[in-house]
Amino acid sequence: MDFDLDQDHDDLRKGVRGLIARFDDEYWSACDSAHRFPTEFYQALAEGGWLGVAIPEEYGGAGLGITEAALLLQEVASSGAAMNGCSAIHLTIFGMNPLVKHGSAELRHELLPRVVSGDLHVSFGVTEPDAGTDTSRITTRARRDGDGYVVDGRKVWITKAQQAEYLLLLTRTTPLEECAKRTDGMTLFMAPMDRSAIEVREIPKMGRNAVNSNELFIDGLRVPASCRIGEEGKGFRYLLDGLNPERILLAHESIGIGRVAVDRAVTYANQRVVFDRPIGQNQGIAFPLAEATMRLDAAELVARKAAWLYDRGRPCAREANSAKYLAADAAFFAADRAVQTHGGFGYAVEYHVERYFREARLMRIAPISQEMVLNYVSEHVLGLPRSY
Amino acid sequence: MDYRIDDEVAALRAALLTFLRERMPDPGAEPGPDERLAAWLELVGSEWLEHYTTGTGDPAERVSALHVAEAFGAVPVTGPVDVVAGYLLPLAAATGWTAGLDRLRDGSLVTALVPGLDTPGRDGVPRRRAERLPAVRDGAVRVTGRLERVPCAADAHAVVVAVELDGLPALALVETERDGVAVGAPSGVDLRRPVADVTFDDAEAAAVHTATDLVDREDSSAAGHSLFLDAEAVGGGTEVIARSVEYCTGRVQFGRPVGSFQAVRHRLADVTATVEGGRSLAYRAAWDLAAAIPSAAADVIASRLWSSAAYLAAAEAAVQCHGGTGFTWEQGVHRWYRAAIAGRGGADLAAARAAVAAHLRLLATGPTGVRVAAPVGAARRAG
Repeated sequence: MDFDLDQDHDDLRKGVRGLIARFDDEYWSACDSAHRFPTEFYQALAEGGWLGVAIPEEYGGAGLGITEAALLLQEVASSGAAMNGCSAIHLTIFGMNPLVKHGSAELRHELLPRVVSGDLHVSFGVTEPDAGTDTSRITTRARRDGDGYVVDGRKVWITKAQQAEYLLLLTRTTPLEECAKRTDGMTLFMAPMDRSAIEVREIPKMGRNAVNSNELFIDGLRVPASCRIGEEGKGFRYLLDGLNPERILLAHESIGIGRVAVDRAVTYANQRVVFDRPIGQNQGIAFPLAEATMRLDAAELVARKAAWLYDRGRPCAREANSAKYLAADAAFFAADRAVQTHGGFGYAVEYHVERYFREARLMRIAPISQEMVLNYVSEHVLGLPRSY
Repeated sequence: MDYRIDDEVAALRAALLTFLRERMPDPGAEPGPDERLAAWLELVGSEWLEHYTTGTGDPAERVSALHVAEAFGAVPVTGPVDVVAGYLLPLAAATGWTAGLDRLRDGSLVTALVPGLDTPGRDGVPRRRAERLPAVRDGAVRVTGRLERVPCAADAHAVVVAVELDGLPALALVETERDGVAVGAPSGVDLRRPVADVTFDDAEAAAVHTATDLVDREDSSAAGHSLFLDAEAVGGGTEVIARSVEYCTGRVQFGRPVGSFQAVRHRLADVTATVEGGRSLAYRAAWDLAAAIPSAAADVIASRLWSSAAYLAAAEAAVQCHGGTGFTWEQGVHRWYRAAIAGRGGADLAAARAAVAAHLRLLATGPTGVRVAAPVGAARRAG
């Protein structure tokens, strides 16, 4: 690794920072309370060319790596946008990975330039109510019908389904009991969001309210075979390619939330005077913020290493999982301490740290729970027996 | 539960503390075998070990006995205090084992393995069951088998062994000097109660005792022993916090007592709250056990989990707050830290958690096995 400042990365961060500076805490608070998608922010990033940062140049993107995408998202999170900002663009920036790697040339040329321009929203349709983390148990079924497929089933926690024009949809084309391996028999589609066949219900939730989460009820959705990504039955393998990058990106987003939480807390602790001195002079205030900073520093190093490994095509599952876990924990600790530092005002919307707190909490659950990361490390890093 | 520590109980504990501090050798000074046995003889003669046995019936008396027993945590004492006061004396009294009581009272150092938690059954009720060694009648009763990690075995004159005799549960008192008894080298982190393995090879028992309800009495006495350990934990935790406060008040750095730094004082405040929580839970569990509340057995386990963790947290905080001196032998915080480590290690965390989980399952499903409440979201999924 090289700890010297990378000028390109520094320029990238400054560029993003400058572009999104006008979307301040008040903007994000307003989007959050109104449950309004941050369209202006999304368009600003599209016009600046940032949405295509990790999409190949031949489709209009910048063709950069996960490291650059991660730095971009960390910068967005640490601006105060937190997950409201990151989730709005996260899938656009890297969720198209299966399409880039395994989609047909026609599909790529048709859709990817629209993704880069910000014209096309895509949702990720994998999770199901009765499958959860055990993806092999999904039951949304795609049946061959002439030159296409007919899909029936349910999906849950589908981000941005209210805006999406397409759904990157994982289905079962072969029932689980007929498959040699549990992960066989699943097929991935870039399915059009035909709302006559898909009912979308928003899920009320604790935070990240500018970006909707939804339950989908799919009933007789027709999907042309040309919208299939790669071969039938290999959909899960195509998704696997994206799991480590997703964890790396989410780790950086967590770190961004943690950073802004500490920044706001430090500012407040320097200004707020109680018992004739700034409250930051109390060790009970200062030390937890110092600890939060060190935890974030440590998590950031692991996250950066994971991104570095991925961009060089090296195995990075250990580091990606570790980064996700450490960063989520560090971010939550930082956000919690930021609320505590603000005292009663930490609970008030006006100071924004409660929003960071709500969104940092999410990171210990998504995209994978901390417990599943521990399962991964126990089994695949330490060689212990599988526990589930 | 409505209970207050009255002046009489407070005075009893103060008297016990004074006795232990003045009369018992410091385990940190590593007293030799003769000094340890002399101290044990004096402790037994003082009858303080029997005080805990007085509190097994009435709920208020049980809580009082627990309060007094905290002194044994505050002052580290060599010898199997917990085994004798917390388990053997109550068990012998409850089952009418006169010969056993006589032996426990004659100044001999008698030890035993206290039964551990059994795998929860379908009813979800935690039970403690002794591992019984086989015993046969061959003129005398003879015992064969091995007990691991017996407290203070290296000093012991005799060991009370749970045996199976004639197909029935029984207790056998075996002198350690008898032929066929081999005691291994003492080891363990706790200076008060080093453990050792004891092997019996057709060893003759000096006395045998049985009772129709022996297994149930062993179970309830072992639960009482668990509470005794809780009392030691909150007593020890309170002591190390008090010592830390005293040190941090007197120790000056950067021109002020280190206790004025919030990082120090807040940590001590945190562990104080944790230990106080342990004390309340132990008192409640003791009350419920004496009052035969159905959930008492599970409460006792929860109390052990809490108190052992609280003691360890307090002892770790004490070592940290004493700075470099906390790491020294002379300063002595390590005596409580060792006791806390041993207490946590002896809490049999996996079995305890399994027992609490089984109890929670019972609460969720009821004794019929039918789930009382639908899982969250079930109705929505069904719709």
